[in-house]
Amino acid sequence: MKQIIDSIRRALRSDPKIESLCGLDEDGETKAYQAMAKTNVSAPYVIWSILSGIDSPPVYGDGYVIQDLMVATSAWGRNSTEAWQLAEFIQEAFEEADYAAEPWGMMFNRRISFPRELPDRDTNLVQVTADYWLRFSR
Amino acid sequence: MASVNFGTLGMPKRPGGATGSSVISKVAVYGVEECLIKLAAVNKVARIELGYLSHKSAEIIQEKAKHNIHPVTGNLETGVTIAHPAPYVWTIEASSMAGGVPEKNSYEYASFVEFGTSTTGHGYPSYGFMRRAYAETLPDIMVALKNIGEHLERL
Repeated sequence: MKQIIDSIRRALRSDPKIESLCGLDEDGETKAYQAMAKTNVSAPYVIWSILSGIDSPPVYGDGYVIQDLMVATSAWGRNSTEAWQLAEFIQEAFEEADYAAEPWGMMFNRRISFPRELPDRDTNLVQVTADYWLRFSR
Repeated sequence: MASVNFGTLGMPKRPGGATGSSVISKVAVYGVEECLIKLAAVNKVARIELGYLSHKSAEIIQEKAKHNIHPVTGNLETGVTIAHPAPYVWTIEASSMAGGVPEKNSYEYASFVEFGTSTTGHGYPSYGFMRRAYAETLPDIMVALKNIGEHLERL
């Protein structure tokens, strides 16, 4: 599981389009964070989190195991255009990632919700959310 | 099982005539009644089982969503409701304004809990209480759908 989560983090942080739009934070990392952004980080940035990890029963004995993950993403932007562009980059990053997560191999990934734009409670920032279903096997 | 029979049914001779005959073909489907009875049974069972599955799934997602909420005023927890807008369609809606503590219904904040707020200032992470409820229920729904399909095949 850890290898899979690391591969998702790498997929988003090493994506050149996300990096070019979001830039780096004060620690020199692309602004793509799991669960919560760093304090005082400025938009645009990406938040992603694992909604659920479902351990499917082994198939064909114990030699073949499937792991499904539901991943929620939020593309935070200073305006609607920026947030939607970042959401598009996130989807492309998920599609293009190599998911090197030995011993796990990527079987498929697909977006399972329509992206939607939401206002923020306290600021003028805008977020576009989308959820993805990733299936790995080993 | 219905079957179709198609063929030529002989060439009867006319009395006194030397040549000529009519040609009769027969097309018949056997077992239509039995087939229609089975289809009606499939229709009935599918409607009952899919209707039950969709309703039950909505109830389970509703309960899981409530369970995923950390109650403060209780308005969001009691504000998770299900509705039945069309046959086989159930919706689950969370609204803090629909909660059971009306005196504390001051503004709608369900989406902020579900999707989080920005971290500029006092931000909150996304709890995803609705999406987690859906994601956790989905595998069971898929298994149930597969079982219904197998049941229908056996009819």
